[in-house]
Amino acid sequence: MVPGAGTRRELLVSRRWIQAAALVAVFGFFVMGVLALRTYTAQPPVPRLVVSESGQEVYTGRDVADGQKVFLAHGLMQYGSVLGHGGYLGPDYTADYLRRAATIALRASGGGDRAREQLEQEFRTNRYDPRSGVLTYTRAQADAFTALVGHYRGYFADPRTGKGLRPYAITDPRQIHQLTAFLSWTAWIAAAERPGEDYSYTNNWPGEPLVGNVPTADTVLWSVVSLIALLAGIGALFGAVGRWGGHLGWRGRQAETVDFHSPDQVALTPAQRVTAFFFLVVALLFLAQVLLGGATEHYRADLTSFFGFDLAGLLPFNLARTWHLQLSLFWVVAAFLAAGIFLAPLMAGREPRGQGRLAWTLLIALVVVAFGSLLAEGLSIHGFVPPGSFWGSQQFEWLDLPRVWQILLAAGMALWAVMMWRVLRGTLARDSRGNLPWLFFLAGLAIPGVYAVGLLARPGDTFTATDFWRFWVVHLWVEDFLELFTTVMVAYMFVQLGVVRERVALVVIYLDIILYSAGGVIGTMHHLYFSGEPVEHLALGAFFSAMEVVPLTFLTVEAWSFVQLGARQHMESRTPFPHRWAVMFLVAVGFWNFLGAGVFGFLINLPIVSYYEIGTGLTANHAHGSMMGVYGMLAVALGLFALRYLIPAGRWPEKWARVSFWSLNIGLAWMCFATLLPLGLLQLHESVASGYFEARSLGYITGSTNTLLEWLRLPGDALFIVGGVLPFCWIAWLGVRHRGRQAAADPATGLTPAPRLSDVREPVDSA
Amino acid sequence: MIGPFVTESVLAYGYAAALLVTAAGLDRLARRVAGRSERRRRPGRTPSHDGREIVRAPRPWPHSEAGRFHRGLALVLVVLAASLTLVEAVRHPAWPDLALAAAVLAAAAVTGRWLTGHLRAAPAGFPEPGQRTANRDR
Ligand code: HEM
Ligand SMILES: [Fe+2]
Repeated sequence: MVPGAGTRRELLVSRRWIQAAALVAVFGFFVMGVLALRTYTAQPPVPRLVVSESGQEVYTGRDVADGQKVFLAHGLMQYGSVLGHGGYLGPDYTADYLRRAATIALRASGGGDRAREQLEQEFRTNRYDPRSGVLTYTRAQADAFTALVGHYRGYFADPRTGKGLRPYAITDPRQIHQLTAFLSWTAWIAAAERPGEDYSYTNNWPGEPLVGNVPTADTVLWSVVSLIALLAGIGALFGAVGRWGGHLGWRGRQAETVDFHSPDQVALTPAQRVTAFFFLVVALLFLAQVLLGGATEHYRADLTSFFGFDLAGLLPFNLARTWHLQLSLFWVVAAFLAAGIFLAPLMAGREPRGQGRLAWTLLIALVVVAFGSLLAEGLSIHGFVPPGSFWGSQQFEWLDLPRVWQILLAAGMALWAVMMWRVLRGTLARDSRGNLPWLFFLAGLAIPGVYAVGLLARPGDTFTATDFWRFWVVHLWVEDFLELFTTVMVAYMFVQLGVVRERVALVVIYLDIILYSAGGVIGTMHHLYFSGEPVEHLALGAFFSAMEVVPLTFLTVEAWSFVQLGARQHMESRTPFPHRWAVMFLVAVGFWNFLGAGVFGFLINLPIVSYYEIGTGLTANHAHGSMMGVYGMLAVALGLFALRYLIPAGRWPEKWARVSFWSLNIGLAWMCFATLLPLGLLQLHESVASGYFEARSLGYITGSTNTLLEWLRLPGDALFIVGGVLPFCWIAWLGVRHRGRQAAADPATGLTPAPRLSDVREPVDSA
Repeated sequence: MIGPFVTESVLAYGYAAALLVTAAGLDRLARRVAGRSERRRRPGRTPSHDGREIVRAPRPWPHSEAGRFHRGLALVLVVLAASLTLVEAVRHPAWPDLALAAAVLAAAAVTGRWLTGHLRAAPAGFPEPGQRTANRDR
């Protein structure tokens, strides 16, 4: 038993906060449970067998599942997309198959208005028999399938690299047959009407005049409703803040004087010192990630040659993009884990024996998982691994790492949770379950927890179900739980610095849980409007995700009020505030939360916009503005916070921190405004005016205006890499070189006392 | 063609103009961010611990530097607007379009000047303990 257990410190805030947060979370996850159930009961069927009218086998349900594995293993979800989800250079293969099949059928029938009507009817009629599990293709559909097997054989066996794929990407005729079956099935659910409805399983996505696919009434209706929801939500929130904001308590002044300890006075624990190596790994992964981003981008600007060198033989587009995305998660997560290791002892006041060794174990495990999984993806894309292999291929976009690595990564994060518990358990035993240490611990636990949900997406399952679980990680993990853990960590940093009272921090955290979870949990469904889910996913997704924008707007306007309130106290400090650039990076996080996540996210959030936009340039615009803008900047902020104590005060490269801050922000803004935003707007226009298939065609993407816009980002990218990432690498290197000063452990207990970061004198509360 | 103008040019100059408007919006945001802390300060603050009377409240950091951050980004947008305009003018150096280009460039110059002025007038205000006094009475 831990000494002192049973006499817990009391809750610092009103119990109402806990109740409200629990209510919102329980409601959100209850609805998510219902939606999960509905996913399985209402997803489009995968027929046991598809036959032609004459009874001949076209393909089997097994082929569809295997074809999906082929699609994934060859990294095609990082090149083009199906049902709108995946990369943006290649076509959307659902739209591609649909257009080609319809065109082939139309040509076979000789064309003309009658033939068009007939064609539309053939594609829309649902000939699936649920009792026998057999789907019958009309003759035209079956003939189109045969023709398209031939088409995709030629397309994927192309000896050239002009598409950005490796030469001879797929040559096995069986794999081509399976792959075509998978694509054919996605095209079938896109056009065949849901039983009892007059729209397809995908809510009529993609728009395709040949098969009568136009936006549904629900798509329009819920767009309007969600717009109103947003306006009402913002209005209500500002009203509430105006009315009750004063009671939140974060506006009051606190400790009259705080003296910050100079980094030289701060002696660190063994695990805190190991974080220096973590942050060096973070910086190097970041560097690798942006260099791969450069290669990915180069394909878009000049598809056929990399300054005269044929890159696609070695590093085809889809491999570069796979690594680019994976690394973006790895370095951000590594920074979060390191920050947790750094902060936990501060919270507990000490660190137990052996924590340093565990930190090393975790770091090595992370490096092994990172490189092992990247290597596996490379081997898979180069065709050395059979599709669907537990050891070597998975490659859902964002969950690219093969299953074994995915499990190891989840296990690594679980090890980290254990480490947090080792440090905190004494504190946890003595504290109320609603106070900061518990929130820190629980938010930390949720990180491996939600990530592990991604394991429910298996390469051979129905795409609709896999996408449902995949977005628990892609959306729920980043937009809700990381956001939450962030707030807890940042709040804690400032509590430790003595500039924010714990009570104030708690209020902010609870408010955050409530506001983010209210929209963000069910808002996950904004990714699943058209992936085969029933219409309630679209309706709820549109409504609740609009609510996500409310806290983003609010937090920008109030912009980390507590941080700023706190950070101003150092006006009275006799020692300088050590975290100028960490705080500035947090200011940047607030800005990009508003612009990158809030504005650019909402821009593509209405179902009617998403109908034309999904999988095009405005998504890339939003993804960069939010992933880098919010989590990237945050990871750097966390890094600088810890590095400040790892590097002796006299060696602290203040100038490089400033250069990195400005370069990363200017580079990102340039990237978004010079290229991604205008490119996306033009592509959206093309999608509405000419068609989705057209807007996703290579011909359009490599057109002259697009190419010009792609080149325009070069100055921004160069600044980002050279002026932003390299200085950060340098600072991280200094961290490893000096690694702070070690505090002496108590020889009797093996505990190392954690440092204090400031002295607070004459605490005065004058709210 | 849109009227006498090349479509691409109209789009490019229109986008550049929109960037200028966004830049101006950011400048306003910067003012709000920096200004909010003013309202929040207690009126009539009395002596600080070194006993000096504070007459005029400074804009406390980091609001001051956050304002600079927003203005810095606004300036980037102005530079971008001007660059886009120049690139497009080189791509389509036809007569009526160039008039549009000139108008956007002039607007960019004005916005840029105006923003630079604001940036200069708003120091980062990061307090160094030694120069606290100077900082406060600015
Ligand atoms: C920090 C917060 C956020 C992050 C890190 C983030 C990140 C991303 C990323 C990486 C994607 C691309 C996913 C993919 O490739 O499949 C995406 C897509 C999307 N995001 Fe966000 N996002 C954030 C907040 C928001 C918000 C607040 C909204 C709107 C209310 C939003 C709306 C969307 C939509 C509709 C898509 C789908 C676009 C498509 O599939 O083409 N996001 N987000
Ligand atoms: Fe999302």
